[in-house]
Amino acid sequence: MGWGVFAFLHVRFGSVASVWEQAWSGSGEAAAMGRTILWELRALRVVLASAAGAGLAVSGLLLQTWFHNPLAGPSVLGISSGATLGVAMAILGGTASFALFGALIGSGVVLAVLWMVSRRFQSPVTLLVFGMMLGYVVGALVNVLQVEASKEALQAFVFWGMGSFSRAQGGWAFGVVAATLLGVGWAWFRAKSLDAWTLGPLTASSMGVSEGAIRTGVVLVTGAIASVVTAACGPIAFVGVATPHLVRMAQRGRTHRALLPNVVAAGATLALLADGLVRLSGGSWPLNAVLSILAGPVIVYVLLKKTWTP
Amino acid sequence: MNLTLSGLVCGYGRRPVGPVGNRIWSDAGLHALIGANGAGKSTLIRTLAGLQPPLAGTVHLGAHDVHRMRPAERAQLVSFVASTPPSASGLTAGEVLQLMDASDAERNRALEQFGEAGWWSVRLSELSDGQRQRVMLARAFLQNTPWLLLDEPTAFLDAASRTRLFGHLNELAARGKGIVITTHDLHLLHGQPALRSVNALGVQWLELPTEASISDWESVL
Repeated sequence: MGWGVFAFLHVRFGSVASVWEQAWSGSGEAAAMGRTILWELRALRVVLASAAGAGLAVSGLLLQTWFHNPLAGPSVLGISSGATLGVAMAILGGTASFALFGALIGSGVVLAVLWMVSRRFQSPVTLLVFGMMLGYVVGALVNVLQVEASKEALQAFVFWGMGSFSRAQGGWAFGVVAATLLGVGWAWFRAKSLDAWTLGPLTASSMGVSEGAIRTGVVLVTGAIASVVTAACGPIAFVGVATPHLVRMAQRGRTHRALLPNVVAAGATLALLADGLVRLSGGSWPLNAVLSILAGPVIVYVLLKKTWTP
Repeated sequence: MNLTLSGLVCGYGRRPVGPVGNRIWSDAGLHALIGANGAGKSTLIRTLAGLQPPLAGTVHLGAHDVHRMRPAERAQLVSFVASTPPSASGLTAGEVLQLMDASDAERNRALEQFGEAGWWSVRLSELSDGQRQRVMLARAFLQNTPWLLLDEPTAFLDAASRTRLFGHLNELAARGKGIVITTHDLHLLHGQPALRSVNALGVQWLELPTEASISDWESVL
């Protein structure tokens, strides 16, 4: 419901004030222009923000279940860092059109590393330190790339890094929708296995859950979502790790079928709310700054809470 | 369905920690694995359950090699309860039992038998270790497999629940199930009607007479 309100506000209001009235009541060129702004700019942006938020939130849920770890999420695990490195190489190397390709490869490499060492992340701290270190390494590599880059490429990269849902045209919105639908569909299909996985790998395996199938699915799904979203919107902070916790605070059901619809709705709503604040500021506030302010306290709350259950 | 061990070597990496050997356990009965801490009981029972690859040799359930089956097929033949119950799951006892193919009436009955009916809507994370373990026992029971492998099922249980559990195990054995348990609870084990073999793990793997005294069992540990 919150999502509906935000989505309406997004389409209804914007920097061109009278668009709404023109599009519905007017005729001729002004009405056509109004409709273009409503649908191709505002509505498409709503689609991109919602799908990205929902997709990252589902990734967060899957990673938290897989790692038995409350701090797992696409940004914390360094998957976004990997995608960032790929995009940096594309943009700073002067081949911005390869950004998606770069993001896919970058996040794929990080996921492959995570895949190999995943069994060692029993404690949240190990995971956090791993993600932080990976972030530093990527930051350092990006710094090196920046020195060599042209001024225009550098500027493009810095803007990209702040995160934004403004680049919704040219199929990006639909690419993100596709990746998110894939993730939601897979998680729904595998919901019982994921529930069993919360009982521990040994028990789940004895119940007939194939560890390999779950691991492959989680890696492919979160990799696809993280790379497409990162290529389209920049490295989006905290939505993935925080949203599942917001949902767990609000509801009692912990089965994946009970969590999924609300995680999707909450992720979409959180992303739209943050984008709404960005647009209220006239587009001058960086999306990631807004998201960090909104979601950061949730992470701190989870860390301070004594018990955690996936 | 026999549980057959052929030239089995258990362990991690290249380091064998468990026993080496051949055994055939016929079904319909309780087989106990006893041994000091670190003797390799858990390693062996996980290997028997197909959850850990052996370093050498094979484990067969009937004609099926447990390490060459798909997890879903294996789950039809053998169920397993780990020594430590899951502490971090937010699922309720009812939600755990709903993961099993059974009717709600059967699930409720299993929870009453092994635990308490009132736990249905309580989260695992809100139960004690012993209570969680009893939910996991009810879950394994609902899997309704010819063999049940239980790794120290009595470790977290209170005295009354231990007696009750052995009552259920005798009943299951009488209905034709094969059961393997690891345990330190020799007093409780002694004299159980379903007991078919007592296997002491250590430097050597010895099968002890089931009717021997507890001090005889203890002397080889």
